[in-house]
Amino acid sequence: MKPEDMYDGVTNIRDDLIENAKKPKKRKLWPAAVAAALAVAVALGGVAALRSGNGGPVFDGGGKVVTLASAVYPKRPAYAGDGNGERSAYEAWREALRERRLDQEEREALDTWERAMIPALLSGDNGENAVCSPVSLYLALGMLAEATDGASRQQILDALGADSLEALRSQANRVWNALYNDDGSYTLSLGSSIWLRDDYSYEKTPLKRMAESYYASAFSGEMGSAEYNEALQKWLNDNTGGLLEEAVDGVELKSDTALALATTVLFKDKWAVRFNPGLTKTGVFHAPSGDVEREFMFESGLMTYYWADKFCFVRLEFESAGVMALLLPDEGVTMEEVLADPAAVALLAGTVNPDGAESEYLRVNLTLPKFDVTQDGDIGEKVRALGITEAFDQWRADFSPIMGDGLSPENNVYLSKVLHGARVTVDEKGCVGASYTVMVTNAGGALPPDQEVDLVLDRPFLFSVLSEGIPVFAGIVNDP
Amino acid sequence: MFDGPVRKREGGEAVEDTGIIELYFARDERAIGQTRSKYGAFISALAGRLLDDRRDREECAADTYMAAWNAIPPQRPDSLRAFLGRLVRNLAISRFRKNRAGKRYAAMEAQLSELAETIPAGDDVEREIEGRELGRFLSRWLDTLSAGDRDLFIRRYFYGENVEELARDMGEKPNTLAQRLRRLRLALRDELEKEEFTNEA
Repeated sequence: MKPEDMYDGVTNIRDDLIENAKKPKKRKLWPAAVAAALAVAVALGGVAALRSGNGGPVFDGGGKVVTLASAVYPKRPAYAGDGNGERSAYEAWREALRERRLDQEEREALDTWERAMIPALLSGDNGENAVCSPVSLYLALGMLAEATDGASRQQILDALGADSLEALRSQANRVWNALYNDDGSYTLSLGSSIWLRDDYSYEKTPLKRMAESYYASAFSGEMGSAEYNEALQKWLNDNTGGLLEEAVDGVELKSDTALALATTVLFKDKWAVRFNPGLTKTGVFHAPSGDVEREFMFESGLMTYYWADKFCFVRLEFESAGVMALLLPDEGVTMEEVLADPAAVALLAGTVNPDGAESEYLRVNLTLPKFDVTQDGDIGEKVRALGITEAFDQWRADFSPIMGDGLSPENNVYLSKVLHGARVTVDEKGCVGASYTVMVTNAGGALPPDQEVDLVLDRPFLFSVLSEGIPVFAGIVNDP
Repeated sequence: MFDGPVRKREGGEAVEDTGIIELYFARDERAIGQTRSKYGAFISALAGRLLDDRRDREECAADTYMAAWNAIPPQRPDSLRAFLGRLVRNLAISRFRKNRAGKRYAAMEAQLSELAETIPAGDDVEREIEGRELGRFLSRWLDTLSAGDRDLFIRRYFYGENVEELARDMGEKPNTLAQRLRRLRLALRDELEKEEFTNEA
């Protein structure tokens, strides 16, 4: 008997032994997290002068920041895809994972907001980098819907494609659970919080619903105080891994703020197949403001390549189920034109084979710049562009579900700002391109591809980061 | 006519293996796409662990889809994952046999030199062993191990994970794990000796 016979013997062990062995971890190429990104959205309402003593302070914070409720995240079986534990632990983990997954119908129900938000949030880039987190805004708007009523709420439901508040609540909860991952295999961490005044009595029901369905923590403190703002900033930094510190420094609540709702996303994953660092070299990126020298990574692999009359598109696989979508507009085509193209938006939003784009499975020689893009600011105008206007109207906004009916018209609570910041970095340590993309193709077939294309992203391009087919981040790289 | 689920978006509920196998039987080329969709990462990762050369890995993975297309039908695998895993392993060792003179195969050579330890002394190296027979023997032997040892052996010798990776995952020192693997190999050798393993075993 030879060693190769033993190898063949091992090859032929029973199916169930192969199936049941702890799923091997994908090759760890880098000890540190390599692709990281995060987003934070803060929605806050303001009032000219809140009548203090309306119901009296609920919690006597004494000027201190009080944690009213800490989010209770759903209990999940520990990650057992790689460990040393019992088989039953592995099965429990797998089963929980299966249950969290969205089915196709649930996924399609998200199309409305996914496809509306990407162009709304990325339009008007003015040659600057743009980046946003559609899912962070979705969850913040979901909480806002809990706090509002009447037309204010209806417009949010319409923008998010939900039939009712109950339907939105349960959908958002499913999305949260499908995305959230802290089991040690990769990071997709979601945070929600409610920031309340310590001198006002709020209605309990919406707070309870935000806690239950959005896993929101609730805090109370002296609105506008340095201490309270520091607590908010610390919460934002803690939940975004400190990646947005500069932007977070500018997030402040004023003494006339009635309440603030915050959501965060932190994402870290490695490429399924890394870019060979030896092939990285300096090259010219044709930015709108002129040519600049940037570092370009190179990867050649078999993947599904999409093309339409205005752009071409590929996906790079992460170690987790997620992918990064890369969309390069044809030369001479503007970002606005691409963002108005339904096929382009559908691809960025996670649809695999949209109408209007051809695809072929072939060898792609991909040249991709390393990039680190950040954007932050008040996106109130962009949220209005989604059709959400009533909540911003000082006289018409209806926040009665959370504020109660005790406010006079002059003191009406309305949505004054939507602060949103996001950052996506694709650096060399983590940047690894996919040799194979996981998707259904209508081409490729049984024959090995004999075509190949060069895809050189040396001019402005769009990207999105998708997990479970949901756009967690989307952006425009005008200058990497 | 196949009416099974067709995935439209990534990350969706995995298509049932039986649906994919039906596509192969219907000679529907979507079978390849769906296999890639569901098992692409698994295939690439396994090829990546067994082969050092980048082009080798890519070609081995691409060949796996072809081999599956050619093998089903007539074969109808009970477990598509195990079936594809075997294809990858068979294709990987063929590449090793063919190109070993000209290329580096450190991962494969490490595996084979470890497996050499399981072969009883005095065993007639010329004796031909049928892989399936040995597979059945190994399966029975694996059944007698503790869950932890069984997983360790399969992850190292089927999935090709290296000792450092396994140690990191299991929170053990590489040395400790290497010794545990060695004990397993020697136990297997004893078992082979005891059973006087032959073609007829």
